[in-house]
Amino acid sequence: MPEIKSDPKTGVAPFIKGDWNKAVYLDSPHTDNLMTAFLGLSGEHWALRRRMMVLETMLAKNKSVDLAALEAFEPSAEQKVAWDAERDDFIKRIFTVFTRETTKQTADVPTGATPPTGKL
Amino acid sequence: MTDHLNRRSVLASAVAVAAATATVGEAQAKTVDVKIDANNLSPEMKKKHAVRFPKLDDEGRLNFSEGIRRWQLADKEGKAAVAGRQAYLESTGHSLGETKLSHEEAWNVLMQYPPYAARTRIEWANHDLMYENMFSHLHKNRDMYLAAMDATDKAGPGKLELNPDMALPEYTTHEIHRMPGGYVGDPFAGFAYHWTLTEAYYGGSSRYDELHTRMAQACRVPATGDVNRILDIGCSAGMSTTAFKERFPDAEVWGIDVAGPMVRYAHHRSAKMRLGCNFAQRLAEDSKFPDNHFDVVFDFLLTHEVTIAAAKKIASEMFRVMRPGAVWMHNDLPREDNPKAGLGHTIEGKAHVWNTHRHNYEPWYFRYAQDDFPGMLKAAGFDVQVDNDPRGGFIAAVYATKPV
Repeated sequence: MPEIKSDPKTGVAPFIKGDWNKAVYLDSPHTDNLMTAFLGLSGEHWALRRRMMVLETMLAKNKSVDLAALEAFEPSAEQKVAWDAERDDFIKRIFTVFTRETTKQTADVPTGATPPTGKL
Repeated sequence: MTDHLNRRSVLASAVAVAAATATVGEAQAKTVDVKIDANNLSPEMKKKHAVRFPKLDDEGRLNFSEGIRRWQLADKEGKAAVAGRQAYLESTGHSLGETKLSHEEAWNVLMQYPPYAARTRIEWANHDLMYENMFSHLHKNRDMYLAAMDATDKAGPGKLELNPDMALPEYTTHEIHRMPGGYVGDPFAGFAYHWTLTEAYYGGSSRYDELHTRMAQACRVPATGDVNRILDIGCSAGMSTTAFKERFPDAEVWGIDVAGPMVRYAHHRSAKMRLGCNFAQRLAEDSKFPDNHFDVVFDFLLTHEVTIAAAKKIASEMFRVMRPGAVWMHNDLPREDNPKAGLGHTIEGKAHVWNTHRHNYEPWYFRYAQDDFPGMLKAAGFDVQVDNDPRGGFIAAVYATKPV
């Protein structure tokens, strides 16, 4: 096998391509692909929603929006905390459904009382 | 785009090294030892370490991956999830104790449990999405990032040494962590590695490189107190290298890594921070440094990414380049027989090892998790101690001291 050498300017060298992107984790490759696409779409949704929060902040403060200022906007420490909390809530609401416990339904319905939680 | 660079810097421009919270003290002898509280970084330190993206939407995409990472970890370790996995194993006739199943078999058992399989799919889909978004951004703006590195390659401060004549061992050229191109195959591997860690993978816990500052600050020094030369082996993007330079500003600090793109980015980042660390594309098992040269050696998450043969050579090589009394702070993943780390020879422990090895694409982790690197350090001649108060999260630091 020839020696592996790197480019003198960038340091880049030949690499061994892995098979990590060929794995199937669910019941069919199609389900895996759908889940992956759904994750990507959710990321795009969050990026747009975050952009909207920046827009709203700028409009509320300045009554106008400058595109360069929009791209350069940095949320305050308080906004970072609040926006991350909103993001975490968004993700939890959407993604927890994928990891829910499931059971096979039989003719018998559940019995026994559950203490009230204060929310439905 | 140039305006973006000015406003949302590729890396924050230099700010005063002396941070508001930092105090300069004399450790022992004449070594200047700057104390920095990683849990309470000053605004100047945050500005110096912050990564910001030129585009708001690129920042938003990584912010989403960070959220998924946080959710996935919390969801996996939640009481209901743990109880659910245990109930599933018991209901299918499997033991919660030690198992004779192979690692792959243990993983396959848990993958039949829908919540575990879904969590695994989301974990790796998010991982791939994170890199895809990052590399997409970097390559769309490749001229800007290449020019940024060109500007600091020779200007410094700090030296950059690339070694195109060095033969890279094949084991170093895999796509570790499912990162496209691995450490060696993409000119922006350093950017991608650092930015995805700080902005997504660490879940917000090391946004300003706090993890690396914490380890560098905790590192013991030789009994004589003098720290003139420091070596960070397998330095990757150089976050620990710069953390050591921030602690010991007068020391000569070197970071070495087999991957040219990683040391090139590490040097660029250090130069932008005006720290003057030196970086070289070299192998830890053949470092080319003189005998008895370094006072402190450091590594973080290196040894599980090398072969056992290379790990043994690294132990011997560091023994050669460290001066008598020098200290090596070694930090790496726990062995698989460590129940405190959530491992052990159970189905869950073995499945975790397999998931990391085969699906986080860590080709050498499987052997590492069952081997004994501290034993290799002892065999190389070091006095070895395990730190009871580590700073690398769940990772216990091992100190190897070269006897006087």
